[in-house]
Amino acid sequence: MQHQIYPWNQQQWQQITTAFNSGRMPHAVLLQGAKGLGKLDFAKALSAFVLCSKKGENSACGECHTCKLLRADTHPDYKEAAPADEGKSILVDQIRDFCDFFIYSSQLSSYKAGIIHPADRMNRNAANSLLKTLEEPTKNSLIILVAESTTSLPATIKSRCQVLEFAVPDKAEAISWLQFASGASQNIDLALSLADYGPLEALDYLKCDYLQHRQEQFEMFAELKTGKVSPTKAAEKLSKSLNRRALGWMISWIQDMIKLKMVDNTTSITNFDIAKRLTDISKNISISGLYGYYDKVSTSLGLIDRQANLQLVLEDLFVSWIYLEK
Amino acid sequence: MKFCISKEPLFTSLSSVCGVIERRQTLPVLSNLLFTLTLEKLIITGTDLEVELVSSVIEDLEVSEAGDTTLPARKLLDICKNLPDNAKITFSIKNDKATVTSGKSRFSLSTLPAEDFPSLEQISPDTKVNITKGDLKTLFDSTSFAMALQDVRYYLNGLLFEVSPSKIRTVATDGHRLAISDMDKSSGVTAEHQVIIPRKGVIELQRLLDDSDEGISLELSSNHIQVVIGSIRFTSKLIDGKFPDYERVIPVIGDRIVSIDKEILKKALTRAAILSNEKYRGVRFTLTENNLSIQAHNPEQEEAQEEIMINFNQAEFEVGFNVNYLLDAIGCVGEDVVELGFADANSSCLISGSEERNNRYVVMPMRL
Repeated sequence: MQHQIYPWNQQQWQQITTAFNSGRMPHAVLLQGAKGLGKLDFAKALSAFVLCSKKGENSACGECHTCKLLRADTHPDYKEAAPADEGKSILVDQIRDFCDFFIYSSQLSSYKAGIIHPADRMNRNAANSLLKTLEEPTKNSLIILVAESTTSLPATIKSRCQVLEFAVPDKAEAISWLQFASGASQNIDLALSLADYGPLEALDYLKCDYLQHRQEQFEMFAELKTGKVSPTKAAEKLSKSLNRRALGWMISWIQDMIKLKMVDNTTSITNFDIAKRLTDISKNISISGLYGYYDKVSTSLGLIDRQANLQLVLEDLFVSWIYLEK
Repeated sequence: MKFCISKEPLFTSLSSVCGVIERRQTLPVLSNLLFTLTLEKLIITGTDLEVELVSSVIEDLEVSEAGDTTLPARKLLDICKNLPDNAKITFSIKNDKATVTSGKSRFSLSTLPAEDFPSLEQISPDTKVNITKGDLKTLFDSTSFAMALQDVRYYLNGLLFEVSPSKIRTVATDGHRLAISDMDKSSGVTAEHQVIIPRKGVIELQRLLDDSDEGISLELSSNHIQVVIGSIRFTSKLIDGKFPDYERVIPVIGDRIVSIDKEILKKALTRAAILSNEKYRGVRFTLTENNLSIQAHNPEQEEAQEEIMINFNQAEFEVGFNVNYLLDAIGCVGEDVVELGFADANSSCLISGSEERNNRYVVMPMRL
């Protein structure tokens, strides 16, 4: 499949292809922006563009030998580095391998292209081993880094790249695109809100049954407080299904509870479909208690990334939710 | 796609191409060979994305239907190897299955689409070099041992191949020793050209060469080196870097030149090496009037001492070397008498034959 450039990324695409056509192509580009904006698609399309042997003004042809090889994942001048598993880091050996790729002359096209995604998942050693190549790769090399948050990316990496910022599109634009892409008519607003306005992430919400999952989980979350479900049972159930996203939802519920306590206004909150129930649940909890709990969920998210025992982390989280100060 | 071929030409062709295929592959299509069949010939291509080998077969080939596909390399080679001599093998490929039959044997192999195979398109060479098989082999064999292995200075992990109108030269170094081999023959090029051939390419190419006087076609482009030897076409990527200025590493030698019989020196060093430190391999050279003494000792306080009569009348001095580097270099000198040139105790040693200086070796000293 040809990787497409979404309407809200057109401006960045124009910028980079113009740079290429006028011979001002940077050797390293950092694509930075929120989840669900199509940055990886952008990176792949950009690789295809520079590698294509019969490219047009601003797109790859999709027909030539190079484009076909790229589609079959056997292009000799293209390399990707990504975590081996979800939740794992990009390791130093992967980056060394990635750098070795750039020392040889290119096989087919004059260009060589490589993508590291997500670049913020490189561990410290991996990031350091990239520096030398990133600073001065061989001629006609293009290194594309894709990252959601650049806070965990070392300054030494950031300063070696030209940064392309990706912003969330206009709400109206996103909604009309989503209507077209998903064919759905309901819940578009909600999906977009839950996806932090990232249209592709919102599309996932509409296409998969995330909304259903979220609803079930919210019921469980509410029942914990009333004592209908035991924390052990709840943790057991949750640890089997999608856990990272689930904790993300919990964080957004707590955020909204805090917001609702401060201003009685449902327009600025994320989970506007369950605003009433969030207010009800948090009636007996103080703001400082909610802030404390917010920190706890965030910390747990970090723990899960570091391979802590999921069941125990969740139990701890639920027990303290039940006993959160009245 | 359908054709029939005898075992011998197919097996020769398969075994020459299979060498480049790595056993453990991340991309499935790379463990396959590309078969391109026209009405006159069968072209077999294998690659590991660094080195590509292409072999064409015309003998004993009967084509019923042209086409292209990819077939599993190892399996096909093993099947072919174990068929009886003079066997006729018939291939017929339909959809994604290949049926291979010979006599009463029948094999069904899975194929992958030919368009997924990363074969090279035509390269556009900018330099053509005239050279014979034997000359290229000599150039490679006398220097390739000094290439670095996985050095961070990536441009050292290969062999420098340099051509000028009247000379062809190869250079390899790992930062501790350097090997230069010259061939003073008209190369047919008009301008100087330098490329670094990666280690893997050098080793694969060495396997295809022998001592014959047969001329071969060697072409260089900005990204590739391509050598055609008989029915085999070898193409390798190049290392995209700048080789260090090796001329500056060659020491300027004054009067401290010593000529020694190659065999005597080699045997003496081999014996001394037995008791040198296993990790550092250091030996000490002490040059006094008409005498070279070689000493080695190891952490167990064992010692070796060798003395060789030489013709030397300069001020005496001492210098240490890694004995393996010396032995590698001396082994490649093609003459009976070796010449060792020293500048001083802190400079490197220049090794060459005493008559012609086609092969020169520089070995850095060690502090002992």
